[in-house]
Amino acid sequence: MSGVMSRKKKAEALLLSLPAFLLYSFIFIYPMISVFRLSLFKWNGIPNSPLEFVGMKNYVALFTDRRFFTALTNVGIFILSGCILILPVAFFLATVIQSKLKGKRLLKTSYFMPQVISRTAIALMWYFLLYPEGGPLATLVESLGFTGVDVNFLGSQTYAIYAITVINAWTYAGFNMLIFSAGLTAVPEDVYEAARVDGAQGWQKLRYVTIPMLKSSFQIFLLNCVVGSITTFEMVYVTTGGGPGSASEVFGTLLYKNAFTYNNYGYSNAMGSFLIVASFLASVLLTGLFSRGEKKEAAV
Amino acid sequence: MKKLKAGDILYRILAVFFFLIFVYPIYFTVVSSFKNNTEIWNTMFALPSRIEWGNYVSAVVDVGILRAVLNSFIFSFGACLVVVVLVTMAAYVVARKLLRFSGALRMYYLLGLMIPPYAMLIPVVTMFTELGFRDKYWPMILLYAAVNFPMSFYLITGYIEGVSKELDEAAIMDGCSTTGIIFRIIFPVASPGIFTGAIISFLAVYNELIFANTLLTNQAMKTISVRLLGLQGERFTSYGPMFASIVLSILPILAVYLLFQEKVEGGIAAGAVKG
Amino acid sequence: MRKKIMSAVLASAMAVSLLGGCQGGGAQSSSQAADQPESSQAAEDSSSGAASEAPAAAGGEKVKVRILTRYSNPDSVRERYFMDMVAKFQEENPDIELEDVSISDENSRDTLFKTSVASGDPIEVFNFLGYAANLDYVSNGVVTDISSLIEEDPAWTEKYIDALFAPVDYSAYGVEGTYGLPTAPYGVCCFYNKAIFDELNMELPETWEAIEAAAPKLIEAGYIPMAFGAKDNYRAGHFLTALSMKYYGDQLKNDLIAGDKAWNGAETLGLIEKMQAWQEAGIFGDNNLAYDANGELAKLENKEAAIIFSGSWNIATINEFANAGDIVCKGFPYFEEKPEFKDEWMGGPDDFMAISSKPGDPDYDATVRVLKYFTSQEYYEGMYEAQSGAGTYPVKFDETIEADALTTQFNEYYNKATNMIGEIEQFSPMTSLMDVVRTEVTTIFSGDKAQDIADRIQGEVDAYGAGS
Repeated sequence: MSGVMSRKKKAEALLLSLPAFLLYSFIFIYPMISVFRLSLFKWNGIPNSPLEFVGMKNYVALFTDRRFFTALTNVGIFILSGCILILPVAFFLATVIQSKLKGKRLLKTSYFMPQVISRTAIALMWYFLLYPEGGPLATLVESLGFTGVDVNFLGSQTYAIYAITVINAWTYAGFNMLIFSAGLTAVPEDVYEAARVDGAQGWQKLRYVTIPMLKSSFQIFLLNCVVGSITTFEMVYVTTGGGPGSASEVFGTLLYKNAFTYNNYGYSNAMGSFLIVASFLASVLLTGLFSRGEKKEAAV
Repeated sequence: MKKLKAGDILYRILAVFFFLIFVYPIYFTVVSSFKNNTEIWNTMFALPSRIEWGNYVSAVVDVGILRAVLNSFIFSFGACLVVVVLVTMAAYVVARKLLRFSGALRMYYLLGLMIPPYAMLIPVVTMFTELGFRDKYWPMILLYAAVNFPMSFYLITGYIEGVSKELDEAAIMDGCSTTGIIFRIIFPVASPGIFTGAIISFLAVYNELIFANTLLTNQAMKTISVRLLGLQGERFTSYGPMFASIVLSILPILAVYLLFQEKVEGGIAAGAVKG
Repeated sequence: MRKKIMSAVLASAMAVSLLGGCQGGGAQSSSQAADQPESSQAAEDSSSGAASEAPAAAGGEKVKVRILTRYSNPDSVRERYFMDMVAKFQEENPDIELEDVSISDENSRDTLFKTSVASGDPIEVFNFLGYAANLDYVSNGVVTDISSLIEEDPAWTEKYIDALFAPVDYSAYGVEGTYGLPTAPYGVCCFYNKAIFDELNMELPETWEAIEAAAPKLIEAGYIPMAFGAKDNYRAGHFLTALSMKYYGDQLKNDLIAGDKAWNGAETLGLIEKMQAWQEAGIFGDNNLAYDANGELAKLENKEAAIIFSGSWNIATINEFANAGDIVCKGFPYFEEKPEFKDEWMGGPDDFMAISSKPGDPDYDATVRVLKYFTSQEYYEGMYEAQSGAGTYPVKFDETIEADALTTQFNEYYNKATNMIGEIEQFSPMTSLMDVVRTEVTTIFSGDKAQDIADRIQGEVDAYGAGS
């Protein structure tokens, strides 16, 4: 190939990359850098009022804010609920859609349906399901004979966050079902065959054959769960707005509230920086951990 | 005929139980959308005694939910289209290492995968207002395209790398330019991967709330998410129209899903596994 | 695997041949291929063009003005009147494109206004909240001084009640001028469903002591003594201020704002403890966090609640109730032990119509026209008529309509007011204070202790003091 041709090819490749590069740099990377820069300033959101350089003060305010620690705890609750609620349900659903049950197509459609519904619509639907005065849940509890039980979960400082994790589980179980379902498809039939010959049945098959073979599915699940929990926002914002008080606050609602209710944009940007760093580190650390685990196994 | 074991029966019961769990909220919403205010409460399954079409009239006329649905589709479809075209071009260059710094470029793009876009909310809002980009279709579409760029890039690059280079080489022998290869060969061959990226972007935009809620102020520009959110303070005591609005916002996307069920599920599965 | 590749090769070979192949050479094929994204782009362009076509088609000279209020709920008489007037303005002024971006929900309205300010493109005509809490917007030039406009056109504002301008007078902070026109003077009052009390053979309780005594009977009969829709967090803010006026007059407000008293000091703590005790005694009913101010009205109308504490802004809406005849208006309950503060009120001017456009801006003249339209004497006369004389207005009327019973009852109390203040937090320059106090006090409904609530509020105040 001649040099002219290759230079022409290079120029063409450059041109082809350019639109995406510009779009991404301008609308994604540039604002990201701005977040870090602006987190060092105090600003009330009014353009004519000067940015006041305050160094790390916004971070000090962030890390000494009791609401930050509430949010941290709540993110922990989200991650845990993912592991004890979404994981087993999603796994179970995956086995259903991989099974030979009659009507599994209908089942699959229903399990998957929440994926295509707007999160705001889901949050509102559940808001009414959990409505304490005559909502379906309250009616159910009453018809089961538990009169006088307080079912106002979203209005409770103790239970609001758990109620939201249930809504969250309803929303994302179908998505995670597909992760495990893909993993199950990838398990070759002859592995099961070998296990059967060895006398493995039911639970044993699940415990010693299926689950170890699905290791990468579990890793993907965990990664999604951790990063998704750190960055959760919509579900909380629509159902409780972070309340009652600050009981169900998460990082996203704090960022939003500090900017648009408190005019404290510096704090919000510090929170934004924290979110960027936290989700980046979570991704990198978890991925690193998984690949190290694999190497170790290979060595053994 | 094999005898069903107790475990199998339990398994089936559980499968149906979850079916009900996933369907019931929709059932309740649909049924309530046909009821008047007093009939909605203190019941779990009851059908309306009289169908209240007025709820739907109110959802369309007062709430303007159809306009919001249209907007959501415009933003989602637009962003999807931009993502597909730009990402495929960029992904091909990176996947085939056509530039010396392809590796660095890949890392640069993938950085975005690990970052929640709404962390950048304030600079984006400021930038959009300074440039007069609020309440306009194109800038919002570009914003959504940028936000969904890294994920689609990741998926499509992966897919293109799996496409044999022999194809490209054959095309080059035929005198095809890189652009020609991308649009004539890669697009059709990598279409499953591209479709995955497209579907994920589509749903992400369709569900987006934060940017839409801060950047769209004009009633006529609002998306489903923003409109439904606004209903909370507006008419929290006329529940019927609210349920009707939710139903109208779910129906179109549900129809799309049922039409392309296999593809949507396959696309999400591929995306989920790789993410 | 090989089979897969082979089929892929075949498929793509077919695709290539179907597309006409590439034999034409690099240059040509690349130009052909480049058509593809372009044409799709054109399709996009036209689709976005179609949506923004309306204003363009109606003539290029139109000036666009946005107006932001809290009026977007057609179920409220006052809000519906505003919405009708927007349509009427549009009809009468084809050269101005008036875009109504109003939102009832207070948080959404705030977000909308603040993002528009932060981005340097503040909404042209908006309901400014005034008071010290919004000093930043005045001192940084977001809100335009309209004093010269008022001077040029004295007829415009001659019927306004002068006392209502105090919260937009910032001369105490060294900023001269007038930064808005009062739109909605109000008083926090209570509405009673008299039918309930008649049924139980009870007097209407007007003091807290009487309410405490009446509550068990009402509860036993299945009624909520006083509905409290805490889903709107401003309800708790209003309640606390109204209560403080009846117990301490405006002394507590002055002390809190000056920093002489702490929010977790005995006085404020005592008030929150009272609220908590009433909540525990069932006076406010239950599930308070599940319903908002509209829910309070619904409970009053449906005969679930015996009393609601509300405000004059709801009089016209209540007059539309089927059982409007059963409803009676009284002042916010006072304390028998504090008769000296019986007529101390929460109320006064609220929501000022203000503008952000400056003289010389291309949209300034249009903005002023919009401002004048929605603050004119005719505008309020129309509203007065639409509400059949109900409620309170920032202007005086030459011809008065014989007011409905509720308005008459309200005015009977209102005119006796010895003092009237807005919500305590409005007087503090700490912008976040209002949301903090409201949100924290609301947590009495989710079982928080008064002491913790008061401590948290003071904690925020201290942190603010340390930061500035």
